[in-house]
Amino acid sequence: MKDPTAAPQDDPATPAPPGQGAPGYWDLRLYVAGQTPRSVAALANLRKICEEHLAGQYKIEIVDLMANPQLARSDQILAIPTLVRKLPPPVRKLIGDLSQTERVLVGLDFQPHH
Amino acid sequence: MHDSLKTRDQLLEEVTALRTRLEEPEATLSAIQSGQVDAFVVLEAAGERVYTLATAELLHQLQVITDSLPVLVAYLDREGRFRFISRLYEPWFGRPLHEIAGRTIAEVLGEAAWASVREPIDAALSGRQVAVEQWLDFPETGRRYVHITLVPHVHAGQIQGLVSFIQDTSERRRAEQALRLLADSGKLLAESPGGEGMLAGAGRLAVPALADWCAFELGEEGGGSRRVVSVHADPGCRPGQVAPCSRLDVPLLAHGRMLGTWSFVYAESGRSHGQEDREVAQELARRVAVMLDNSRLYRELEAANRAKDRFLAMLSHELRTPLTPVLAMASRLLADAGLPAGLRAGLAMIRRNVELEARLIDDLLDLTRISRGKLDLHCEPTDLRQVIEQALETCDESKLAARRLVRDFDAEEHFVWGDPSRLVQVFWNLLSNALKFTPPDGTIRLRSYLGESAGAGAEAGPRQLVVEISDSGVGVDAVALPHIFDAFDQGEAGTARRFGGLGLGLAISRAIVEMHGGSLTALSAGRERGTTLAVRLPLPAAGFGVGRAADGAHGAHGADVAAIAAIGHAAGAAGAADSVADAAPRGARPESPVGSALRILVVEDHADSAQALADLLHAAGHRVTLAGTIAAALAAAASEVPDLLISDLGLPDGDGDDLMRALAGRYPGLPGIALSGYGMEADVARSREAGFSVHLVKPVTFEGLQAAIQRLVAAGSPRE
Repeated sequence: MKDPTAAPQDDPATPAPPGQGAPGYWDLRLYVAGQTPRSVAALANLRKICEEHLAGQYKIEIVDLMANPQLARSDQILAIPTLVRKLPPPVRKLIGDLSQTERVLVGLDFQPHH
Repeated sequence: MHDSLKTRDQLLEEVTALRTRLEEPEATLSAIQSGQVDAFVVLEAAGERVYTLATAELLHQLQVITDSLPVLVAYLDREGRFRFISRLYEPWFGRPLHEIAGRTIAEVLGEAAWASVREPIDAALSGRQVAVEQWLDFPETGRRYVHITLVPHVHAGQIQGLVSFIQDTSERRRAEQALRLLADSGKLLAESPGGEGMLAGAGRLAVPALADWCAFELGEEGGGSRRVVSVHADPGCRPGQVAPCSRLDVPLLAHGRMLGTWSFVYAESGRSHGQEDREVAQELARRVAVMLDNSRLYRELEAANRAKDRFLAMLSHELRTPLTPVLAMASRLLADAGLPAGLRAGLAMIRRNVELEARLIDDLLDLTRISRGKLDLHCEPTDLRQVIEQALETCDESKLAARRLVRDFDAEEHFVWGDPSRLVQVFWNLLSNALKFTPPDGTIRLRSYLGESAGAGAEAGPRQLVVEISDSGVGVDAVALPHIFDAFDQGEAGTARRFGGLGLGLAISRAIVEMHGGSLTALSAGRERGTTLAVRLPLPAAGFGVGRAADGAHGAHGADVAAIAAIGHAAGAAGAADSVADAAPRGARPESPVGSALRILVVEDHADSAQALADLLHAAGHRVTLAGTIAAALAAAASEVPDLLISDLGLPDGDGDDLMRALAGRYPGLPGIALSGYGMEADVARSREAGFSVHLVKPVTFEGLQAAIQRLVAAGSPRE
């Protein structure tokens, strides 16, 4: 399967994958600070969760605030790492390293199939 | 207050809004408390800035990673102070990390080392990435050859410092040098003739890579050893001037023999030899030793070869000396018109066979000349038909008479640029060969035509004169055909015998033809189908302008077979030229013997030869004084000054050359004719140098000697 995150991740000009805007599509943005341990942990956790539960229905954009701190402004980021769910609406923030999978799934509004 | 009048719903709404606004701070707090965040964005006057709680952890990671690298990693600030260093620096700098951090390079490594890296560091601090390879002195590991990469650190448009990577390439460089050294030594040894020059070359390879100076000591014949060559890296220094600090003695061993020792010494540089140096030195020494031994073997082989050539020359001399009086006497007797026919035939046979034996001896000598590339040609415009007729005249008459000889000389011209005597030799060999193969009543066909050299493609190659000698004899197997020109090397032992003599004739013939720029090939349709030998010789582009005149004279020779004489082969050709004197390009020569009587001093220790020579010269009207030694010759010359000296070269009390020199010193202008069994070019040159005007190789016929005397008289050199 194609890894949607393989594309340049903090480039907003990246062409959107098919299905964007459709119901059951997740547009996610993860704010990190270089390679701090929690930032790297959040990256690893997010990738794992998306692969397992949202396969083929998500896009991850990664913003490194160590390199570009001014990018914190648009989403009013305070603590790092922070995940912002742009889609589906409404916009939601998940703060921390995303180590509690259940809470992440709830925060992402993911409805498990029964 | 108005606020106090809020409805319950309003209050609920406000609480919900407050709760929503508090949700994010609560989540943040919870994340901080559970350690799930480690960085924050703080809004400062200059804008957002990120602070991290993980600094210590990150620094530790950085240290772990840089410590694990096989390179020295450091961060230097703009002043050249160490701000970060990997732990590998500790063993190299000989002090703990905190003793290095914050100090400058000069403080840690000293001013000299700092000076050696200052230039690349300045370049990096001006924004350029730099990579250099150089020697660098370290407190603990000493002088190392390092690859240094310097990467400038630019932040916010300003150079903050640089990251430095230092890689120790000493071992790699040493290995490369060793390889290059061994490769260079291979080249040197392949091109060197050996001896001390080779040792000096090898020594120059070894310094300064393996030593400040090195020396070869070679074993002496009687035991002990002697320093043969020493080479110093600094030509101004003498070996031993500075006390050695490291010395490596490597044996020169070849084929199990200890030839000597090669010593590699470090003194001035203070360096020392490692295991790798020892291995490279040993390999070098092995190669040099084998080369030394090979050149010794080669010298021995060359000496043996020279001894063989000398032996062949001496052998031919000894074999030829007795032939001279026999030939001379036979010639003289045959000249007597009143000789009974039976006796004449017998004498002719004697002369023919003596000449044949002389040819065999000549072949041996020619072969040694050819194999040493020392056969000289004396070329002139030469008519091949005359050459062939002359060759026929010296062939076995009885065999010739029993077989049919057909001449088809169809070529428009027969003059080539060649050595007539050598070409007579070639055709004599080929004709003798054909005679041996062709049974009585068989036919030998001689054919000439013009051709073009092969392989010229569309363009016509140089013109060639082709002469084919075909016999109707036994032929040659296709398998054996390519080998019939190999001296001593014929596939079939019996073949050599049939080709006559020592089986050298064809080998010599081909070599002579090739020296003329031509080729000699053999064709045979197989056994019992006959053989054709084809001689191809290049024709001069414009001719010699004598062909027609010579054509008119063609057939005039052969009238007086007995008059044709041979001094070796050369006089044979000269005699033939005489018989076509009117047309031949070399001009006329009177048939009569010497015009005036000369006083001739003959020096020859072989009594029979001396007497025969004296008789013949007497008969020609000369006054002859005989001497058997140099002493006798000098005494005779003192009592009566001779007009001409004829001397053997090998005399009991010395060399004929010495006699000539002595007499020429006393009687300037005295001409001399050397008689020698040694016909090597070097022998001829030596006798010329001694003052002899003519060098005749035995067996010498009287006609040849007369011709030589005549030439000297004509040249006006005999004294008044």
